[in-house]
Amino acid sequence: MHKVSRRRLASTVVELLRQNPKDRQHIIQTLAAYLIVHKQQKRMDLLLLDIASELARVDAHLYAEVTSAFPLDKAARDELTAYLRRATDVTTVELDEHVEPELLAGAVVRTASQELDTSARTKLNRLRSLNVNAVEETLGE
Amino acid sequence: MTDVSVKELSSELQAAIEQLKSEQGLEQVGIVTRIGDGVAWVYGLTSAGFNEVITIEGTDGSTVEAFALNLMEDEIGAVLLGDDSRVSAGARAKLTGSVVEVPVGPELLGRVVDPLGRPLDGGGAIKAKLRNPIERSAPGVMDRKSVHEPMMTGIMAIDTMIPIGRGQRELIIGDRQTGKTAITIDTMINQARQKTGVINIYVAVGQKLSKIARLVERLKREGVMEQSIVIATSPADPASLLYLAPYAGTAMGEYFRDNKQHALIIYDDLTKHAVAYRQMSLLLRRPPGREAFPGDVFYLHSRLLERSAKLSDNLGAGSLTALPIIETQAGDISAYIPTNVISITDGQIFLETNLFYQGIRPAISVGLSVSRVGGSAQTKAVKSVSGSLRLDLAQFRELAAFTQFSTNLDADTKKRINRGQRLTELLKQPQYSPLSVWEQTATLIAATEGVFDEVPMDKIKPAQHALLTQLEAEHKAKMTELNKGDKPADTTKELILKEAKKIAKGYSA
Repeated sequence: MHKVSRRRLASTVVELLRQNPKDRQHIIQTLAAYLIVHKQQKRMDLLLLDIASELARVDAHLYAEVTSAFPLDKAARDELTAYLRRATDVTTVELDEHVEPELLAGAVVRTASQELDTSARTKLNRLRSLNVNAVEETLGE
Repeated sequence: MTDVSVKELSSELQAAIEQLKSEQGLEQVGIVTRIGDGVAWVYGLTSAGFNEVITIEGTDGSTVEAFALNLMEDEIGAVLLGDDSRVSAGARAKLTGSVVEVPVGPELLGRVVDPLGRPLDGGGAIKAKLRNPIERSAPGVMDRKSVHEPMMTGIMAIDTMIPIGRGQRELIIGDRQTGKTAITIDTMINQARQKTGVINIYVAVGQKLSKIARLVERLKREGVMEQSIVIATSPADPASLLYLAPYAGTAMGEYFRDNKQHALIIYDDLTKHAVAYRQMSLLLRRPPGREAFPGDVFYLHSRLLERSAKLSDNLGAGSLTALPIIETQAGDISAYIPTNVISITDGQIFLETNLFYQGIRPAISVGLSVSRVGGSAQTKAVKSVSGSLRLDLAQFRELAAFTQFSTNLDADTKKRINRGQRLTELLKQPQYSPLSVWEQTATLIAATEGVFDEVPMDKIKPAQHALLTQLEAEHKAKMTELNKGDKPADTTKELILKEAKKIAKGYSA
């Protein structure tokens, strides 16, 4: 059986979903069967990301996973949606929110192919590696 | 009159800046799906460029750099520049938007660095003002000039018979332990002794660190290190660094070439470079070809060596001379990589194990070595006296082989063999003692005129040494004049012959 590339598969799925929205159940079942036959169940998460980026491309619909240190309030949600619309040129934004206190502060927004990381944890990590370099340079002189 | 309103322009510019600012935070990310053997397969990053640097999050919060080499529909294959044990599957990878770059400029002189320009000598940070990509295209046809200035190696056998010009690519090829690196070190030392101002760049590809340490020590002792850059990679480094080393060295050399200076780059050696590239290519699942090397192994070396060039006067007339080294197995120069590099370069110096063990050092095989463009770059002084040397030696070898078992020889044959033996003896040269132009010229004038023909074989080198000492002590001004490289005047020739005859008489049996 001919193996199709993941991106082509994603674009076909999106195309079918757009053409026959009522057949959604059937399309998903067919896709699941395809993944099982090709032993690609483990690649499902990557395929979903491909479908998400395909949706953003053809449907101007963006799926974004937001992980924040504290739950988002309405103002933050609106601001984020507006920002994502502006930055990625889409019309609808779907936010999938999670709370992760380990981030300390700020949020991480992940779309299929892009990331916006404003978390305090990442900033501290970056600062730490910068600091190490600076100290090494000073010692070297 | 244009109807541009400054107020509108100002607000539009403001808006554009705001837009840029807001987009700054969004970065292209991908996910590492597989990792191992220094190669990472990354999902996503569909907009990655060829050779683009990506950063991968390490397990300990640090980042590991890699560069993209395989761009495919579903994933990209990237070669890690650091330790792969710090990266695990599922790690996030980000595009940096730049290709691999190294610091370039005079700040690197006297330093030992790795292929990414990071210091290895414990001498503090390198504060180079400029950074250049390691891969650049070679100068075009109109940007070049033919090779016409000599790059003196200080090795008489090379400077007289296989002369190298500035901007030339001359391959040094031979088995292991035949003195390939020794020739290049002597050439570097000669640049300092003769004060040519040529910058030396030594690229060690997968060399033992002890060997590199010895080399650096020697360069320091000879006072050459101040005008040299050493790019060091050891067998313990990842193949990606070995692959990058020659390109990084060339980028550093190009800085001098493009700034009206002359640089000499030594790739020690390109066999190991090809092997490192083969390793990377096979791990990236590119199809193997002859000797399991990938299909583009010729391009790997041709695009590298094409960057060594003599630039036109409009571009400042700088030059980058390359001395690539290739190690052969049992003298087989018809293997894949040796034939490739022989065809790319402007000539080769072939070193033979047999000659080396006969005590002829440097063990240059005169018959198999050529310089295709160096003739027009040879110093006039040396050229005027070395014309028949190659031919004489070739005839000598033929006769010597032919008359090996014969006892009855005519006078002419005897004379030719006699001369050949003495010339061979004179061309022997110990390591770390390059000869200047006047020393080479004076020796050759004496030898080709047959002054040393009566000197016993074991006294030839002492006689040569005595002649050079005498000339330097008694006729320093004339020799300084001769050292400028112009064709020697008849009076100078006569003077050298007179002194040589006197000395030869003292050494004759």
